[in-house]
Amino acid sequence: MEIVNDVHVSPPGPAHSADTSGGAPGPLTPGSPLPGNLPAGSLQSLVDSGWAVVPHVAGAPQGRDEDAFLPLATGEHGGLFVVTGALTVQFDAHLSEDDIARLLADHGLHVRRKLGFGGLYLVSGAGDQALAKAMDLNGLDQVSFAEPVLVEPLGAR
Amino acid sequence: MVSQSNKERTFARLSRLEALPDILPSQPGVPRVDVSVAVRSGAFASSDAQTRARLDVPAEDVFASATSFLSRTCGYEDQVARFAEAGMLFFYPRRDLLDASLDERRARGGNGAVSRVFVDDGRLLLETGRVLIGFDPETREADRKLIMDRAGLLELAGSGLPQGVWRALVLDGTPAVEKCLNLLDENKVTFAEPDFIEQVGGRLTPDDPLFTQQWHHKAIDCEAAWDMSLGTDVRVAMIDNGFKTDHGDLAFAAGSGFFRTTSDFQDADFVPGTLGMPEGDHGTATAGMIAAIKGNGFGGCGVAFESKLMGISCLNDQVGTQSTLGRAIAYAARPDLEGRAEAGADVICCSLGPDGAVWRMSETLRLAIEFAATQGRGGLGCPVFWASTNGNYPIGADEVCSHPDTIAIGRSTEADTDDSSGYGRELEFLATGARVRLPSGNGGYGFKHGTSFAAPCAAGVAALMLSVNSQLTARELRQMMRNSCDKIGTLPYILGRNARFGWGRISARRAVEAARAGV
Repeated sequence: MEIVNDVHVSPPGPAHSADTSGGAPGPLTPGSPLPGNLPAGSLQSLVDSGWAVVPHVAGAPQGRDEDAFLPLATGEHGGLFVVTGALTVQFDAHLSEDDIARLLADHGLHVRRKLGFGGLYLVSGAGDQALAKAMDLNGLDQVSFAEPVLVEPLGAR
Repeated sequence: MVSQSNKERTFARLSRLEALPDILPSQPGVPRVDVSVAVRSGAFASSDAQTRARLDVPAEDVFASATSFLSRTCGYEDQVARFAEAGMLFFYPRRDLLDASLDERRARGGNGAVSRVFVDDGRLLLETGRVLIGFDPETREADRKLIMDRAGLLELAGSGLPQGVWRALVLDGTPAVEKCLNLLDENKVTFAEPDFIEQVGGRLTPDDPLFTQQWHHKAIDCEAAWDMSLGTDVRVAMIDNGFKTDHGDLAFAAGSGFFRTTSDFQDADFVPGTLGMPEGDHGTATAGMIAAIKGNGFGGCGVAFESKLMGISCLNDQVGTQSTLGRAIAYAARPDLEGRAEAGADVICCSLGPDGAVWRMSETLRLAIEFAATQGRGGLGCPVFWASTNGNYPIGADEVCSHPDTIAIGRSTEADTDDSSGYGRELEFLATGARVRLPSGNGGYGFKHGTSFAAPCAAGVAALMLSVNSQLTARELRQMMRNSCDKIGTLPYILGRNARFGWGRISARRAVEAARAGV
């Protein structure tokens, strides 16, 4: 999975209007040339759902709330994913809740929700570094696995 | 290997039968409509008098009519009335007729086929000398015959019975119930039960105005299945983007609700109930395939129209996280995970996913599916039906549909062919999903096309099965569905399946028969 450097996205909502002010590049529109080799179908699904796909520029253009934007990543078979700042993590079953909280805090993370199945925790605090944080956690003996929470097109069949 | 649970269930069923030792039926013959009318109208005293008058058994052999006892006291009006319409009346015989052999009873005008009358779970069951026996599929023919000979059984023609089931006549005079209990001691016998005579109502044909346009019911033989099961009270969770909850042909049960994505897209909050539920044409149709209401003068009906529909909405923008999807599945199986007290679903169905070739599954979603398939239904497991890709792609590239705990469904057409949806060894079977008439998001009905609608068709059949055999594990139910598929199409089935049709096209009738027989 690789982060797409050319664009990032903002979810449906007020960030869109902020995006087009201050001379910053506006969202891609249907027919716009796609940066890199992004899969058009997946990109269109995001746009159809109200997400704005915006060219990435160095620095923070005036009027743009950079926190409102999320990284975009491509998967090994051309899938397109929005990388949220959350992870799901399965810890060694012997860890206590306090142990888990301490371990996460060491990585700037915290428990957002215990999912109730599979011994899973939803963990927040990764900002735009969810992929890197997942890699870090997967390197720990106390972690069975960690994976980023990714937004993806999941249509109806 | 014989499943011990099949035997245990059969043993339990036979052990709880309650005999009505002093009651016999007359033999079938001329319809006794006057008795039937009296029973249905509640004129029980009159029904007893008419029974005495209409019995072909000599008066000296009859102590009293049993019509009002069975109708009024026991509450079996409908069955007693229908038996009367078949000419069979119930009475208390004098002792010497009760003690007589079947042949002697017949010679004296009584019923020479029925030895005793039982009740079980509200059903009147008339014991005959015939039994139904299931054998372990690995049983050699010679061993089977040896067991039947040893038990004093004469094999009868078995056409129409599920594979692996035989009908036989008890030759040694042992009552069928006791004979079956003895047969259950045989290692290779999977079940043995009396071939009871019971009242089976006329074929249930819904009068909903669009029923005749719902070709899928006929294709999978729903009407025959409905004679055995309506899916009553089985809880089916349909996980979809959204539902039109005020659609006139849908009713959503407790436990319905939706996952509302948080503003940072990292999480979702579960909102119980249908107030504020996202609307969706797709989910409205999938829900309708399962449980559209019968007999309300509107639209058509669902495959399991008496099941309880749990509509669970998530990913309503058609984008979202597998984490939320996993939570929806786990919630369906165990609502307490989201702090809810409602009962979990017995059957889970989902028709979401990309139509491309590849779908990578997160560990979170994998664990959720495994949780539901093993921990749902108090540990019996929820069968998890999933619509396979609509594209002509191998299902093996879809990690969700090819997971061992997911039952991947393809779509079949009105012509009973496959429709070029996903294929491969991970395809379970086909169900009707091409141009099917289902509820729409606009409040009416429309023609829908896709595996999305085949999967809930299969889920509906599963509900019908669990309604007649609630103790089936998810794995047992899945195997029964496989075994009971109709082998449609021209492609050969190698060891029961092929890549385009899986195990075939689901048959509601055969699946329910298998569930009822426990094989």
